[in-house]
Amino acid sequence: MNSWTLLRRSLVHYRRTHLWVLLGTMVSTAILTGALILSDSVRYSLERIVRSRLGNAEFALAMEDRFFRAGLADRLAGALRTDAAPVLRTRGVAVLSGGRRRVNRVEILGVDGRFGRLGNCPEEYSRLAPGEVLINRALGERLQARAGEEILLRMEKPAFFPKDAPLAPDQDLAYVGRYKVKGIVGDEQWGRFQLQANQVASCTAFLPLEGLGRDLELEERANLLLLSVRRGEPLTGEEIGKALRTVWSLEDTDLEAVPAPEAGRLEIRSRRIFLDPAVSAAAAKIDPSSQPVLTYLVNRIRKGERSAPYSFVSGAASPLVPGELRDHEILINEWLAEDLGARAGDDIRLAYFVVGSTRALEEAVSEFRVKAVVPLQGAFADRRLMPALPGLAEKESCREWDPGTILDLSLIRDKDEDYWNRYRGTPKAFVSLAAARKMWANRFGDATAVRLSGGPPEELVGRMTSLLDPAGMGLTFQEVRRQGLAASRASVDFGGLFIGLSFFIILAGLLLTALLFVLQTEQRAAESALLRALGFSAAEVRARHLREGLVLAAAGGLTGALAGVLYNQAVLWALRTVWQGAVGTSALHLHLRLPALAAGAGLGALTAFLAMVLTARRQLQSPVPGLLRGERFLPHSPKRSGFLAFVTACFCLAAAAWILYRADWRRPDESFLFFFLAGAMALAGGIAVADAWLARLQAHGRGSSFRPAFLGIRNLARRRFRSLGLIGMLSSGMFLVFTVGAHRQGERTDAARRSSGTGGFALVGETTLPLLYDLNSSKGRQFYQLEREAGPAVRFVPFRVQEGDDASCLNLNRVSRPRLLGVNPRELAERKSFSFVETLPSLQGQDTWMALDEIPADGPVPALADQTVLTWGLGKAVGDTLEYVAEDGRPFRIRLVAGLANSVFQGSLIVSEKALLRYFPSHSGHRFFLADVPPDQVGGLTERLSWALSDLGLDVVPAAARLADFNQVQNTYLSIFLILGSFGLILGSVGMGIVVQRNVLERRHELAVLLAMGFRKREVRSLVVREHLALWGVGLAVGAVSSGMVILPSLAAGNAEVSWGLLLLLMALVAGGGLLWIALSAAWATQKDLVPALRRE
Amino acid sequence: MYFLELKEIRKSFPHPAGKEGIDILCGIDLRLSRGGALALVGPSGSGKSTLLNIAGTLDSPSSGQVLLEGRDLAGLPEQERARIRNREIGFVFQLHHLLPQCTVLENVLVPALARSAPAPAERLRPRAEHLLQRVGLADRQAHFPAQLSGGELQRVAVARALIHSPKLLLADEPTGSLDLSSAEELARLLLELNREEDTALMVATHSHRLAAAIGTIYSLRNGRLEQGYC
Repeated sequence: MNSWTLLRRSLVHYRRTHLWVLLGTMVSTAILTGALILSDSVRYSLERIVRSRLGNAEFALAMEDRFFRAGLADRLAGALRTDAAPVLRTRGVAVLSGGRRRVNRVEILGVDGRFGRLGNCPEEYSRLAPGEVLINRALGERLQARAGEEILLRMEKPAFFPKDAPLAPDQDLAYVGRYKVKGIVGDEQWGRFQLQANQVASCTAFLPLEGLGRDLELEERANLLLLSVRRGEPLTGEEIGKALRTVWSLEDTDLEAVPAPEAGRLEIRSRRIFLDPAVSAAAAKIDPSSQPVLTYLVNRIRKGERSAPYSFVSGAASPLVPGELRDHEILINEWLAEDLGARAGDDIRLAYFVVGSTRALEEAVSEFRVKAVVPLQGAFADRRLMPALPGLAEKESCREWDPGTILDLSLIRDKDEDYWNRYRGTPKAFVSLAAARKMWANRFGDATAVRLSGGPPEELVGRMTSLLDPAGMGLTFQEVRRQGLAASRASVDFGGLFIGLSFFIILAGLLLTALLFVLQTEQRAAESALLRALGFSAAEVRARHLREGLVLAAAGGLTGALAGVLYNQAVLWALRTVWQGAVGTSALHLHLRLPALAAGAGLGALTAFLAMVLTARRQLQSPVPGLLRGERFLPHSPKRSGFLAFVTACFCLAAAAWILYRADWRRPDESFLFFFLAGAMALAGGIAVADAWLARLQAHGRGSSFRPAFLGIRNLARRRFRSLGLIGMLSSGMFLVFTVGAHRQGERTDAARRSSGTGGFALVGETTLPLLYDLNSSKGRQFYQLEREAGPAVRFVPFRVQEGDDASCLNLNRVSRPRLLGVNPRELAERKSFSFVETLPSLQGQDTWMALDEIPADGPVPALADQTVLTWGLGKAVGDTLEYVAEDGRPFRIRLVAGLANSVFQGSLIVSEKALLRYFPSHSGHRFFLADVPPDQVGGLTERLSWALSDLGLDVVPAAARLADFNQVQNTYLSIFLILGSFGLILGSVGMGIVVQRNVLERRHELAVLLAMGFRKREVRSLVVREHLALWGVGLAVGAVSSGMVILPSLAAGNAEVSWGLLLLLMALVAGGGLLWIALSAAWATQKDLVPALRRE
Repeated sequence: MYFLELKEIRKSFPHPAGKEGIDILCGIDLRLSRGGALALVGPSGSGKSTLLNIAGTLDSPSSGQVLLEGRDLAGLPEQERARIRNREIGFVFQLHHLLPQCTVLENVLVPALARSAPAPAERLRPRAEHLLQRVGLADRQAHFPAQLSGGELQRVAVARALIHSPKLLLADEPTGSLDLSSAEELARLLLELNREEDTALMVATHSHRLAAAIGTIYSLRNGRLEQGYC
């Protein structure tokens, strides 16, 4: 006989009760371990997705509106001794042949074998023939297309010349091609390729690079360059930068170097028409006398009543334009002088378009004095001064002109046609460069060419190449692999999330463990007392009990960890299927790591053991003589603890009332935290009231009203803490599950309010191809055929979209560069749309929207986003900054100045349109809009928009529905909480059953005595039932009142979408489970022969 | 010097309604010499068990001294009192309180598992076997409590109380739950052991036969102790 023998014997002897303690530990451990494994599994799955979507690509050069020569990839690959792939990327709409199914926002990639090599499947992509397309699984599933079927791709036709630039063509903006699906590529064939850090696969179509280049008129060009991971010596950004400088040439970008008409001079032009200021600056460094030229098409040159339509005018410096020409002076050629009847000293007016919003050009007029009339020869007859404007330069007749600008070709006279035939776009007038820039410089550039000398052309080109920074021309590489892995590793902590969601079931498991351990300790009170009588100290006796507890906790921890693997499998299955709304992907895989298992087992065992330590401590403080007599509870001072409970109850209830008084009842959502706090305080207060009541019963009984029910009620007070535990468990369970469960967000009834998450807008639209015209203008409505449905009361607020990562709760990755939405903030400020949760203190007292327009010259760009995006999507707070890379490769910062209440913008950052265009000047068109529509016109306009803009790949939905879509993620989490919470409630009801049974068992002799005294069995049964019904009723009442405080304001405001079915089911679980246990225990207690209990007494 | 001396022992319990406390023992003086034996009699609630618990350090007096071989036990810390209970005092209760999970032999050895036990259980095994033989249960060593009769269980409890050869054996209604023959058998056993083991014996009982067998009788009534039957 030794201590271990005693331990072993006790474990075996009390195995039935031990089994329940072990079960409680096992449940809480399984949930904890499952959550930890889930955390590992989600991270592992996200890392796998990063590898699936990036293949071997490590660095990427991604350009939105600029293009490089595809050959650059090979030169760079050679210099860096690694693989590289050029890709031509655009976006479009895919339609299954016959228009049966349509998918918007499809990524269309022109690829070849080089791309396949980076994905370890060169064959797949090198065999693509013209007219064939490979589609990825996501697109295949949405289109329900199979190999051999035909699909139509309507894609944005990217071009060097930005579509928003003045004189840009408005035709031929999209290309439509019919392709035969060659196959559907899965992850293993790199079908998941995408740069965005997102676990949701985008829909992608792969076309042959060469064919796509031809179709888009971008032969030999690409806008995405991927560099492979280099074996042995990893690539660095610095090394790539150096290699790029050695292999790049001007021709790789939009620049072209051509000999200028003047001997020995070189002209640098851009396929984008307007030159970046950096190019003129570099030319000035090589040749201080270099000559930038800005040539522009003016609408009219007028002198008095006579005017010449559509003429080119050049602004240049000396020597083309005499240095002494002042900014208000102009040189006109002899043809124009004759046409206008103008001479030196006359005043003439130039009318021309300047860039407004989108393609809305506004006509401006400038007045000049004729300095001289110049002959149409020599430098003044240089037809190459006209930029190669698409739609003009290649036309034989100026009546065939087709620029994007509204030109009235009927104004063109025969003599103008004649001039075109003889001199083409030779400028008819010349102004100083400063005057030209003042009139026509825009965000796309301030020159159309620059001419320089100082050496042989080849040498000049070489010097230009070395002076220009390729990064400044948009050739900037991003370390996509590292960024992707970092985003996946800093992803949403699913372990923590699921521990939070499973909070109640873990708590219920621990409570069950503690409760059963206490019951067992109580049951063995006499044994403890005996050991004390035999000379064991109280600490020794406690240690003996806890040693048993430790064994149970350890066993529960181990079995729980194994059960946790099964639980995790079940959760992963649910996340892949019924709860997919929370993660948006089915690519979640189990990833078992020993540390997670060990941590789960250890944590589960430790928490269970702690629960035992805390409860056993109190139990074993009982005096020995009492325990020997069979008294299994600690005598305490009911008066004192009752008073304490009363004080606690008063404090908590007063606090709840105060919080309710302070909360804003008109905005239940914004005040949710207040209502939740009030409910929590009411819950604590209610439990304290119950405690005070029990203490009062214990101290004083119930006066003279001695009735049979009194016996039962007094018994509740006898087991005061056990009773309080049950009330606490029932009421807390109800409170947590009901408040959270009833707080599902549905389509809001206050959606029309400006302050709501819809901003009061009726519709939200998003297109795949950009909207180039203002939908509020008559020109735009005419262009998009919306004149009839879009009445004067319909107003649109357009947003520019700069692609980035999705920072909404649909993305599990912790992204660093979310999508940017550029808006004119005045549109929203005037409407007082949306509400702010938090703003920078420095913005107090001023309009938060208008703060977006306060863009410092070199400071961070102000931005705002949904508060939830800031906190959860980005892990940032108001006042923090994010780093972005501008179109020209320059890094710039964005500062978060405010957080919006839940809105339709979830997932994006909102900046001022001005700021967006400052850093992304080539940006063209709007791809996102909000629409103010009178309620009776919503249906008609939605239908019309869907039809009219279908070619642009429009998705238009009611703003309230879009908000509700975002809320689906939250609702899915709430559903998970509800379901796990119901398991917790079931466990809680098991605990209640055990307690009820234990209560009855312990009092069998008392019940037997009642029978001996002449009570009928029915009466005894009724006594047991009433006693526990009182507990049950108090628990439910406390839970219902406190949860009501939280949910009623939302219900009253109509904001909560209550899943009544589920709540009723839970109610049935809580209430019915308790009733069932009470009824069973009472029946069991009175069914058995109670006489032996008397004999034992 | 007496082996056990109780001086002016008083014990009162608080009134449930918060009024003045209820006095159970009102200045008890009692002496017991080494190897001596006495019986405490009195009606239920007279404080017999309380006095026994105070003598055995399971309870503390409200005032007064408990001197065991001249040492006052009342003021000792719990650890020390546990040591004394383990080594110098043996208890027998009305209910046997055997551990159902342990065999008869193991139950006798349970006191040896306490930290303050003088010797490990294995070393005490021969004594446990001897005691079981002495109480007539040599052939029931491997049995579990559930397999024994009431009288046998109580005899095991006596053997357990004597495992460390205590100087004082306190028995609280040891025959209270036994039939007549078992009670007589147990009474005889207690007295034999009292003589054989030279253990002072103090028995609280309602049984006149047991009290008479012990010889020295004290009556407890209204908190006061008187020699002989009142």
